[in-house]
Amino acid sequence: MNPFVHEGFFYADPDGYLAGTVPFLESALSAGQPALVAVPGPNLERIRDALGPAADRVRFADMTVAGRNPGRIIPWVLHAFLAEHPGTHPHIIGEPIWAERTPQEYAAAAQHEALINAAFAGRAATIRCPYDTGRLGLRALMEAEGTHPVLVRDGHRWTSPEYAPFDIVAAHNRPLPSPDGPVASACFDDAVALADLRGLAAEQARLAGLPQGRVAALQIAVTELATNSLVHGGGTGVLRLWPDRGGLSGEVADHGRLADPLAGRLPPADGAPGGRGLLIVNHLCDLVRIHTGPDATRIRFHFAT
Amino acid sequence: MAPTAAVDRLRLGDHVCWDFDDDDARLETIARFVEGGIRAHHRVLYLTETDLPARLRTALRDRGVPVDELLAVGQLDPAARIAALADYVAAARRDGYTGVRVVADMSGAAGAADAIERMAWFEANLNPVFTGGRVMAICLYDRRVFTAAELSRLGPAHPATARPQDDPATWAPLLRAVRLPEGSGLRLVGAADAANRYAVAALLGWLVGDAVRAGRAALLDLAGLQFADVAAAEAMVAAGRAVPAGLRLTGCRPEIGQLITLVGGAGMLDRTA
Repeated sequence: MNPFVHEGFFYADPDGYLAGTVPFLESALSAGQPALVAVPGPNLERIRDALGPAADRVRFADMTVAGRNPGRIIPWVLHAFLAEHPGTHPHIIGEPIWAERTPQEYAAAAQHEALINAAFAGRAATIRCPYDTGRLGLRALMEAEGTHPVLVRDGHRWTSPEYAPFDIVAAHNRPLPSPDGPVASACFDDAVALADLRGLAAEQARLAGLPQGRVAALQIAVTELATNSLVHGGGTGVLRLWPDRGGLSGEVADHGRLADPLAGRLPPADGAPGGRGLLIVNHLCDLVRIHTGPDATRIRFHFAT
Repeated sequence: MAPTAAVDRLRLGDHVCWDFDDDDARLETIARFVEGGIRAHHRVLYLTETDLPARLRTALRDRGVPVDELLAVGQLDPAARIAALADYVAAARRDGYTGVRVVADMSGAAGAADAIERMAWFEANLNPVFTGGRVMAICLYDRRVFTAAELSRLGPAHPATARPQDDPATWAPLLRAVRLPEGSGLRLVGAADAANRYAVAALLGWLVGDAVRAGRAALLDLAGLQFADVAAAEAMVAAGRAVPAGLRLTGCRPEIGQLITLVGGAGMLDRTA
């Protein structure tokens, strides 16, 4: 039997929220298991207050920061916590979807929810994901039934008849909206061009007003994505950058196919070197979106100011 | 536009993959590189399958270089191959030269089934010799002879590559590596990415071997490293794990330090830097 449990938890109000999270955490603590709460700030404070002194034994992370980019949550929040606690059965409240998510963020977050199942199959852990039935749209609530094998509501717990996570991944693998202003672009077909791409990135980042530390992160992201195009994407690609929502968005497009939906979500097994480019891109960017097909892949990223 | 004029900016220690697709630009690049070497009192080694080609002799004479005298005294030294570059460099120093310049015409080396892998291995493992700062080389790769796929294997065996389309006014070597005077140490200046992947791997391999043989810690001075990609950061962390006495990274920029931390090398960072 798969020791990994992934529950979609529907709540309607603060009392319902606490009823579905606090006893879950308290029973984990009383069983001596590690507990993590990764939810948006206000809900985080609500849980912390309700737990009282027991909160000291729980790890907290503001999901609007740690999981601002949904692609960051599996590797850098969940996997990191599980790796820290081998031989245990961690209990995690993870809330990656909230009403203020933009449509592109939501699409990435729904894919993230779907991929959790494959990422941690066989690992002893229970993750419960709260969904606000009062504020989230119908699509988010329906898709939660597709991404979670088990559903929880008002104290009832049942197997989701709609569970089909890879359908949800595929449903959000859609052409990405075109940028609506001027775009800076550069084609590349060899590794020597990477330095030029970094130069273009720095120039566009300064125009967009990104702080210095984010410029360096952007250069790393651009280099990693373009390197992937050279190695896996048919050997050529195009970098595009444009100002977006007060920050900078960009994408690297090539003629490869990103076959593994978990690429960039888990560190390579055995600590083997290589294959960490997308993992780091997920860590550094504020949003990563992917559209991939048989002979074209477009990876889009956003850096907020 | 070929970056011919950029050869004037090369220094002892540089090892550059020089791609060309035009014979005039190639000749001009070699002549300029050789002439600069003669003026700096370097010994100039021209590695070629043929004798010093007639056109190059003419081009050098046109520049006022006394080719025959230099050949007679051995400052200009055409050869098919040499036994070991490090020994050649040491001998030139004993003979009173201030450095060695190498022009390596790689076209004759193409052909055999495993030629590319052998060349890439050979080129990468020459890099430690350059870190002593007494020899510089341009390795000439003809794009009409080598495929783009072959050059994508051969180029990264060098710390830097110059391509025909590069601008001579702005071209500079992507990376320079300098051996530190004491202990087992290396200073990296510039950038480390897929364009010099195998060169960086060979340099780190040399550093690890030197530290392990001497039974001491290794030191990587990164104060001049402006960019490292994820694989370069991983290579540094892997090198650190291979040295029992450890590897210390100094002068790291914050973003490179963050990258090294993210790939598991937090313990190697010198916090005082």
